[in-house]
Amino acid sequence: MDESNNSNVTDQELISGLESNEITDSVEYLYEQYFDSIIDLVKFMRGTVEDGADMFQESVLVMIEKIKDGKFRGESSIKTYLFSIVRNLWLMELRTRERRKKREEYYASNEPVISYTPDFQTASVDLKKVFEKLGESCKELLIGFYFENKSMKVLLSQFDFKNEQVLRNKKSICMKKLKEVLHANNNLLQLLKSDYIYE
Amino acid sequence: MNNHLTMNDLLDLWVKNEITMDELAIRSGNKDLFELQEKMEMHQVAVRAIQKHATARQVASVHREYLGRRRDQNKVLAKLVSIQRTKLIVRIASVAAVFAAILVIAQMVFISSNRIYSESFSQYYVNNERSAEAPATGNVTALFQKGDYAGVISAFKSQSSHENKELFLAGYSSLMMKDYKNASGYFTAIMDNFSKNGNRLFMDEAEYYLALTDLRQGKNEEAYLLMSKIYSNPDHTYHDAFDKWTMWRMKWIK
Repeated sequence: MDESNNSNVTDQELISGLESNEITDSVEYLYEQYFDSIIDLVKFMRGTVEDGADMFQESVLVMIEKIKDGKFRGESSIKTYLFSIVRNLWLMELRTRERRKKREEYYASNEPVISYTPDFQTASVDLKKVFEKLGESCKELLIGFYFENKSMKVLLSQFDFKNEQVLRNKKSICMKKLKEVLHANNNLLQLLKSDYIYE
Repeated sequence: MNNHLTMNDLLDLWVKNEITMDELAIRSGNKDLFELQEKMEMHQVAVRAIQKHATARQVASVHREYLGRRRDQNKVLAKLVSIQRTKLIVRIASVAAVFAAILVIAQMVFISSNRIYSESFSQYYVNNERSAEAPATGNVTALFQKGDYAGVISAFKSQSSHENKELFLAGYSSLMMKDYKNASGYFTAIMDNFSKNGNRLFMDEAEYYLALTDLRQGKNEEAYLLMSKIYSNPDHTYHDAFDKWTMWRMKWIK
């Protein structure tokens, strides 16, 4: 996306940008345009600036997933869509916090204090941990092949492998490892299977 | 299974819609469809996980950079505000210093007791009523009219008893001779006479010049009390000697 025309980016251009594998410019545009308004919205709904920043990040992620999965039908503007995602995520988060607070109050006398991670971040955090377990080269190789759609030839020039067959073997090993780690995290696995992650 | 492609390669082709599920089954040689379906689902989930993680990573990177930029901008803004605040404080301090200096100068120039004395002082003239006066008093009066204040004091001291007029002329002469202590004593004696026998003669004059004598001695509190008494009494002979501005300045220095 051309930065000089940032102020004139149409929703259609934005959607095209977010559908592609290189989303950085489009995401930056979303931040420049809507970050402050989202912070105001979350603050208005009893949140903090930090809550607003976290909500914005997660909502952008949800919106990209929806667009990529073809679930955004273009019945509203990108701005309206993003704001509605933030509102829903934040209300969900508030309800979760409320439930947690009541639980903690109930068990306050006996239960130890458990460190807090917002629910809407749990799936992202789990996914990050999964890829950390794979190691850097596996992670980059899998992202290069399955997300960036790079050919084996391109990947071979990027990674230090003897030949294409060795690279293919390495990819298979990495994929096997990923599947094993996902198997070990049943909660995340079910979320991915139902495609309910981030929603 | 195909000689060149592994199961993983075939699953990749299936995920990318390059082969169908049936082709996958045939080319992999896997006859257990349930097992194959499980492998397909797991492969699809793994690919989805990779794509979601890659997307999340890009968004997180933008998020970090954006917040970093905002923090830097805020730091610059905070620095600018701090500089502006410092400038403002310096400016306010300068104005306050100038204002304080003006006040001090104004106090020295306009509000000092000497200044008020000079503005409020009016010379006293005595009428020539020689025929009606005793010879001694006439002598004091004559000397006063000549402006011989030392002579007035000398003549006054040679008398054994003193009327209020002589006391006043001696007091005024002492004031002119800058003998403030004796001037105060003579004027106070007139006021004491009023307390003792109700003699009001030269009482107003004594109060007015005693106030001026106090000013000369820097007894501003005492001067202010007398001046207030005179200023608040419209029937006082010297009521108009002090205006509002003078009384306001006296409040400052008392």
